[in-house]
Amino acid sequence: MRMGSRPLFVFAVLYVIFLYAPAMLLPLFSFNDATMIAFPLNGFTLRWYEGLLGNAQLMAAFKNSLVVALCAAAISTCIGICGAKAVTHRKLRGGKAAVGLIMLPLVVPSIVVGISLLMLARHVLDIELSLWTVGIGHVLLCVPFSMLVMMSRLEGFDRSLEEASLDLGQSRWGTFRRVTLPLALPGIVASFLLSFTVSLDEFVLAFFLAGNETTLPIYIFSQLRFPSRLPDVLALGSCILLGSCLLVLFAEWLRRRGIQSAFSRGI
Amino acid sequence: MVLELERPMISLRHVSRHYGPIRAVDDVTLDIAAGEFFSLLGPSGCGKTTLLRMLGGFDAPTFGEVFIDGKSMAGVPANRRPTNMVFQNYALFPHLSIRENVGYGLLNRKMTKAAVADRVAQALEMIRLGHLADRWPHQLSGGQRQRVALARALVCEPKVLLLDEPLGALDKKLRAEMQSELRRIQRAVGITFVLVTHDQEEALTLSDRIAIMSAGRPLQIGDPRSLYEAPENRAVAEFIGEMNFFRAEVQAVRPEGTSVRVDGLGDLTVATRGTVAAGSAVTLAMRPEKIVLSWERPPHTDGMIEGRVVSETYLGDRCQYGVAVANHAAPIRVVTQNNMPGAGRQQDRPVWLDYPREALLLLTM
Repeated sequence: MRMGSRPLFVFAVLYVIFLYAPAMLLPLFSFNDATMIAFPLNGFTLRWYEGLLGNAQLMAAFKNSLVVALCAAAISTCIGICGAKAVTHRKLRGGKAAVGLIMLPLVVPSIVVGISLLMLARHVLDIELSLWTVGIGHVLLCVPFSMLVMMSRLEGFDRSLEEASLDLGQSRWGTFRRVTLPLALPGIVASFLLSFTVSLDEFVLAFFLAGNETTLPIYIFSQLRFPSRLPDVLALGSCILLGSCLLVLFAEWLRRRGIQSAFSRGI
Repeated sequence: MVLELERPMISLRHVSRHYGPIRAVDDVTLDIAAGEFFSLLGPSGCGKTTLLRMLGGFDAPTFGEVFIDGKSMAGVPANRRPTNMVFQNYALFPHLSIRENVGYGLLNRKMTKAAVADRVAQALEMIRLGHLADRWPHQLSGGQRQRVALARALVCEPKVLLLDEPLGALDKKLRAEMQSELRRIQRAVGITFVLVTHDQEEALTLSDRIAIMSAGRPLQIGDPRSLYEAPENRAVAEFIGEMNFFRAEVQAVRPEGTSVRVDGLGDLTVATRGTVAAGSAVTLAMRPEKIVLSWERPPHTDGMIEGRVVSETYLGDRCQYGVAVANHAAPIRVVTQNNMPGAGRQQDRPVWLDYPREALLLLTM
């Protein structure tokens, strides 16, 4: 073992515990047969998970969140692709300023964005709050992430590949479909997944912009007031944890599998 | 400068490309014949690549017009031009196999799958890479990728093949191999090749004709021999090969030649080139390998230059000496083959230089 690597190793282990131990409490207590969140554990049960499926309100909120997140991810990824292509591939006048403006939601506190969008929706445009308004707010928030991912992907992109495709007789659209898109695919997947997660657990904007239909984070927050409902929330949290782990594994698998086999077809 | 060609494949008429105040290509007019191997040679920034990109349709002239096979290319995009390009970095599609890369240009053609497969197989056979058809670009060596890029362009059967420094990334030995391969393929397919390079040896070896470019304009266009043996101006003489330059003053212009007084060489008569007037300052140029070097004092030293060896550079098959002579600032460079007895002698020896009079070139610019 090299000099100095043992303290580093200890540090690394402590760091990982610090990061993940709190999250691990969630699944631990979700299988505990008691309403109180406290040690010692009382015994194994699955009833909290059974309770989840029977909870119509929760399932509705979960469905709302999924729909909003999928739509927001799809829309922001599309906008991200187009925007990133525009600012990386063309000498766009004011391109830098446009990127700065698009990135603004990353630094402006979401509470400010939330209030201003609420004012815009209710007092200026006079539209009813609904999942639509949440979705629009989430797109605003997700586009900077999509842009960042797509820009880094497209900047490392050899422009002569597109020129070669044009040179070999493909139209601009054919070139986009056959060369740009397949090569940008890992970025597109990353952008989609990132936007999806950002939207799924977004609370502040959803809190301001949701009407009668709530999203999952808002539902969870509302349930915290009732101690008896807490185990349900723990079970739900564990499910989300598992889901995001699977999502990350899937993304990594896709990345390793590479774009070659996925997108090359016989000629 | 415009050669009268029977049927030029490419015609440039007063083509300019300005980027803001910079004139990357400045009023170029030239013709390239069908089936010709034509090179644009020059240092980086001389406009040669911009010119090539305007032929391929990746850039448009600010002024002037490009004709390919008699048709104006104004407004014709790259995908509708009868040209194909071999890119500097090959630009093989990393997500497609070698076979798919080569067949890419045939995707939109109305051909049966079998015919496409046939053409691709033929092209791969031509570059001797048939056995690598199912590999990916990243699994190939630089030279192999280069050949794939060539096959991918040629499979489309273009009227003009454009090559942008195609051998730049290869090592010396591989480059020599690829040069003869390029020449062989060009002769076999008979397509007009336009090559951009900064490597003069490459241009001299491959080309039927070369345009030497500087500051967006061709300085001289000609076949390799005439460019090397009879450069029209000092820039061309300097750019191609090694050259000794002598300052001279014109004494008189006569029908049999121009009398000049040359620093270091004395009074001579050389062939008249260009417009010269008595009393004007000119430059005389002489290739180092035209000079004959004697280590022993010859019986007749009339017209020879006596000097002293001040430097010696061993080049393997040749040796280059710097010889200091009276009344001439820079040492005269002399190249000798290493098969001469006495080669590799020590410095500071007196030597005698002889040269044929026709080796001296009169340059007015």
